[in-house]
Amino acid sequence: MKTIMIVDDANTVRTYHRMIVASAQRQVEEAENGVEALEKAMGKQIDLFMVDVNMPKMDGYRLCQEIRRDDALNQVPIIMISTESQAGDATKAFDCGANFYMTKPVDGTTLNDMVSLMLGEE
Amino acid sequence: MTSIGAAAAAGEISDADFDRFRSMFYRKTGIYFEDSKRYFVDKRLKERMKQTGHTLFKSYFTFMRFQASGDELQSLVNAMTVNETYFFREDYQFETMCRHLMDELDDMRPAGEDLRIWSVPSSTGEEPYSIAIYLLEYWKGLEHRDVEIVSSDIDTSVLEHAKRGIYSKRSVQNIPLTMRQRYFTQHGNEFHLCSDIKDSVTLCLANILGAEVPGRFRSFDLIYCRNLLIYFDDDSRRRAAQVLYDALKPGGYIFLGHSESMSRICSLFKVKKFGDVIVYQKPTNEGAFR
Amino acid sequence: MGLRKSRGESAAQADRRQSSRDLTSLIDDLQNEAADVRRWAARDLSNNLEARRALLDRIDVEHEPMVLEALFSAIEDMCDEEVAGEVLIKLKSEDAQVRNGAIELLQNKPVLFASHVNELLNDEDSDVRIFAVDVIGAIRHPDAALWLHDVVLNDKNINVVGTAIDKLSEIGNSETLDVLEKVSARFSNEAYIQFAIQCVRHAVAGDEI
Repeated sequence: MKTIMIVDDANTVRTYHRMIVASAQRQVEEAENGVEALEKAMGKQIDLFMVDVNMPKMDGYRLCQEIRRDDALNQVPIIMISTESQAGDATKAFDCGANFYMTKPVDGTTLNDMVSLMLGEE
Repeated sequence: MTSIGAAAAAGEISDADFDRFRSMFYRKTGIYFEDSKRYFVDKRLKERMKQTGHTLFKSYFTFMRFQASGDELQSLVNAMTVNETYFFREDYQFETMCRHLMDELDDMRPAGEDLRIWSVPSSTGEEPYSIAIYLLEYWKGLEHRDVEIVSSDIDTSVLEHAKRGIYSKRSVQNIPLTMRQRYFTQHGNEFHLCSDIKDSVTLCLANILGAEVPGRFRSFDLIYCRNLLIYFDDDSRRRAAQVLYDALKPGGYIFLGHSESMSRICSLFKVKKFGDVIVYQKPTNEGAFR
Repeated sequence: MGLRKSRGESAAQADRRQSSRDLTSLIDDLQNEAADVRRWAARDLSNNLEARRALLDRIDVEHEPMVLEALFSAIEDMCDEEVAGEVLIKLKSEDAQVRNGAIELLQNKPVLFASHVNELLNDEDSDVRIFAVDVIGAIRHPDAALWLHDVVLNDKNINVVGTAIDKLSEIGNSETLDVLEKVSARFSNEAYIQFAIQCVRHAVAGDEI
């Protein structure tokens, strides 16, 4: 069983992304911001982060940096999902340690394919 | 529809009502009620409905969510979080203090410097005195390191109670018998705390959001601030977190109540876990108060 | 060694900091290279009208989260119309921490926010409109649902509308359901919007049964 953590401050976005990616082989944890994500990830096996950019308390870029600095989490892949679509946002996400960048609203099939790839599923 | 209608007619709270309330309450306060708390939650909701003159949950819920002052939400928070204070309450945090934090802080600080603990709010004294007893009983570092315990409250009447140090049987019932005999003398139904423990806690009057606090309360290594922030609105909670942050030395720790989390308040602390116990640490890579 | 005897109220120490706490020194300290010095300067300049300009300017160049939090707290209680205008500009900052500071400040100033809500909801930057929607969702204002209805009916950006629908799941009222019928038709091919509308129907209709 793989664990995906969805980090987004919008309840409906978390629920929507959960609906897309949850399966018999994947369980989902949710967090409302970067601080809550780090708190909930502590001591747990997380296999993938799906991270929004603009969130209160700790935004997605800073969360990415914190994940990459954390000994227990620094190898976990990160998909960054942003409402922003200006040139440069993706570069910033990659600079902060994200492995993949998507813009909202996500296409369910693309997201699911990317999650499969990141989790190393057959 | 029939079942919901029937439940509403009886002034009951349906499963869907409970889910909606639980979800809203979690978003507003960070406190999540498991299904096992259903009876507890329903009882308090019905009490608030009665107090505010609502016979239907629907109308009460709407009233509470849209009330401009937010007073009813606050009353509900108070009703849902009301807790009697007693010795050794949430003792797993005292254990974590003695097993992990004090040794780490002892290693971190120069020899000869006191370790300082702030317990806020003191309420009637059970928490700061529990800290003192735990340290004496379980932390060997006291043989080479002095510890100062400061405890404050906004309420003079509870401070007076704390200074008297006289407690009911219910208040001391979690203390093992041998320890109770060591630190208390029984007079009828009253338990009088010994003066050594009373003298080891400095009690003072202070409002955590008062202007003088950031200047006066500082250089602490460990803070207990349990079940206080839940009574504040978002803005006051954020301000209080700033005060707590400034009151700690770099590397110092803070305990919140078991249902509280810094994650919705402030991003400045680093979260740490010892077993299942969550503690927040002020990062060490910053200079001291000047 | 052991537990220290109580020192009475003196344990809560007198303020004995080494550096000077006069206005000029504190404003100088806002530029100090040590982050903790800058944070304490901001804390001690809280609510000091003469320091308002210096505090606002520092926000634009400050990158330390602990200092930024203190800077926003410091200006919060002297946030009048003039300061509010500057705070609105900070919603466009490149630094997420600055944007968050501005959003939190506006959430605590519903009256000031209300006087600028139209300007924000018509900003050309869709992210600014999203931040405005975030603030609307957090404040208790009698017009909040009305503003959100206007957004979901008129804004062309799907993410702005999506955010507003999300907020309506918390603060929607009996009119929301009719409004969402129209929004559903506007975005009939957008799976997320359709899903979000279902969520709101569930949340709001529950109130109306």
